[in-house]
Amino acid sequence: MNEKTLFTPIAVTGLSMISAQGKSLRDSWGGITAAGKALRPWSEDPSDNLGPLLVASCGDLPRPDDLPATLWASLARTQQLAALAADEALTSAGLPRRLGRASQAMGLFLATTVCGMDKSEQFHRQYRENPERTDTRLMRRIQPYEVLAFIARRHRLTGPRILFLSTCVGSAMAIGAACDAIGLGRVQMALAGGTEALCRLLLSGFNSLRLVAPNGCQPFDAQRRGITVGEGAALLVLESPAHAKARGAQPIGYVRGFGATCDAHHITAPEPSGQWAAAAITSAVRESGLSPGDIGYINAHGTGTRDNDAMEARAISAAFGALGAPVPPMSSTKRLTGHTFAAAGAIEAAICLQAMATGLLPPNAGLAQADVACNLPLVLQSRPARTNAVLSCNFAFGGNNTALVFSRQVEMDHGRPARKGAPA
Amino acid sequence: MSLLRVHSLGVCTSTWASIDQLRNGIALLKTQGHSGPADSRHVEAGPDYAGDTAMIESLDPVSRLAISAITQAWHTAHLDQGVVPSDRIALLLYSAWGQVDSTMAYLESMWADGGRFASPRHFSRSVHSSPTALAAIHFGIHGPCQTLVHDAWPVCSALERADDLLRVGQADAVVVCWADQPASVAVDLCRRAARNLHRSQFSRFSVAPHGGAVAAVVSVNAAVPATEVGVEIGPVAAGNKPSSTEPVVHQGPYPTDGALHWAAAGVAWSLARFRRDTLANIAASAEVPEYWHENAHHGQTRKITFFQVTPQDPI
Repeated sequence: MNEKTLFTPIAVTGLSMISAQGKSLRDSWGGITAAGKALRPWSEDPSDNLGPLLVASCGDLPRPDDLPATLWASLARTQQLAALAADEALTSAGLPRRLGRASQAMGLFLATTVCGMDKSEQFHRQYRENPERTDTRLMRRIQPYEVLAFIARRHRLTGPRILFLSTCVGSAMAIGAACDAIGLGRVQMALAGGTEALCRLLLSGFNSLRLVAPNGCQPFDAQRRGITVGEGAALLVLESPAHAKARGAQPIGYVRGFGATCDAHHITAPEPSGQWAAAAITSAVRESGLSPGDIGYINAHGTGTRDNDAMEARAISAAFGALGAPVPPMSSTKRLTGHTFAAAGAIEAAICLQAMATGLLPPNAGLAQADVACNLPLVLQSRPARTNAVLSCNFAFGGNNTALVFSRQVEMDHGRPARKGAPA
Repeated sequence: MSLLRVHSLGVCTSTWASIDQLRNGIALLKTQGHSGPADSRHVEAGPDYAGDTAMIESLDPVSRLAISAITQAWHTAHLDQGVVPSDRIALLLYSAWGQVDSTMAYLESMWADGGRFASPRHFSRSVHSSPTALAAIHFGIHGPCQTLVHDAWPVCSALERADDLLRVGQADAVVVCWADQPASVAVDLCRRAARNLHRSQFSRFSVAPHGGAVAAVVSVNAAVPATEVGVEIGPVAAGNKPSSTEPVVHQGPYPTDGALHWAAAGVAWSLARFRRDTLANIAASAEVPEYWHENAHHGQTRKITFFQVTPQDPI
């Protein structure tokens, strides 16, 4: 059997976030820490049965100056969000929009769930009316891989690339895969994260499952009623610490551990005991080589559904119990950004990195009365706290669980266990 | 560079219900110029070996194809006998289009009657990762389960991702599956695109309404006892094509029965042909025997090399 090895620390040298709170990392972070109210009704149309449901929309998106208006208008919204996020991430990493010779050494690991669903919905309406009179130009936007191909073409990235379609853990998996590829020397740098756009299918689908909270989500609240559908994008520029140092880049933080498991339990519901989610968390923390007590903040998946939050509370308690450390302060930021599905892992990774960089913990917004059954140390309001390491958890449709560990410094590897074999 | 053991294979298309049928079909193709009559019944109902017929029939086409193909690879690699713990097995599923039927059915229910009767069942099946979830549940896989898409090199990309998972110690065995269903709407779309876009790759499709799936169990060590071949994936490179004297498995003539995911059929064709036709020759030479390069993309090609291994060989 292969032995699990300690995770090779990977530097985060660029970061972006487009969310309902703002169209840049700075604006988004400002809105999140101020618990800005960003939810709005899906539609003002009284005949629309979904109209009153609250969603977290990014609103009108500014067109990058290198993209012609006609091309911009033809893009799926996931592509537009990804384009804006890529620009901000590359700029913050001190990299040009076109990478030139470096493009072969840059991997692209993206995640989405809805792909070009806004265009698919448009196509489907045409198809219903007359299958012979559909706009075949829509086809390019409908193909799932087009989100990936567009970003690769725009930035002339010719290194390895993969699109992850693993719903709510997609971008966490993309970040984990990018770290694997860098750690194994397959690429020197990677652009990794996720993009997700609001669309009718997503809102209607979760509404059909009776999982949309009519008045916005309330993670870990005793009266929680479901999710708030959101949209957004976040991308991380990742590279080996040596590569970052060689080009003079200043790391924002480091990816230190990644754990992934599958419940193999139910297509939509989580495994109630949370044992496999706990296994992902313990695996990520142990792989990191950090002391569990170093983890100063957890960004919870915290969707606001009864099943997810109850399972997550059990999983986190069990994992930190097994690790022999108290559960650190934690919050779900889904009330502030909405549930951005495949982008959630990257958006919440960005929130974790910002929490470390600014010394500010974001609040668990939407909480009126904490569910005593969850019994978690929730951050009720933004507050200062110096954290050296943070944990981001994501759980998905189909029972996928991921956990990412980030640290402020690469050197703080005291307490590394001489571990052999698979994690407990 | 990735170097992997391919322990077992599975195939399910309307032309071939299993890897053995594929091998027989290839032999027929060589001697008689065709690969045998298509029989789509097993694609509609699920092949006998897939087990629980009612369960298989209830699945959407992509999940049915994927689970059928994985079943063969799973049993041949003895994963059903617990040779690898369930949390040390990973699953990678590549599907270019996802569940087109379920997505269309959900969209229908979403538009009809103002969306009041939108179908939760079709919604959950429309999610691109639902075949991966169903396969994980069916086989009890607790390691990382990922649903992936690549625009240019789905086979290389999947095998490289499997290699990464194995080498960083996230898994001891990886089940890789490529599955697609060319549902009628996608087929219509492709046909019209081929008419409208003169140089479209879709003009090459010969379409039948079924699709196909290929599965392989891979690892980097002998944790899994059965071993078919080794595979080496070359880097992305311009001009990385076989020379005129090297044996080449062309993509062109294989009867894919219209699977949109031609790459999946390509890898099955290559591996199956390798075992049947060249294993004995390779045993003597131990040299790189076969090349298979996927569709050129932006002037670049990738090379996959297949070679014989035994359980004792280090990879």
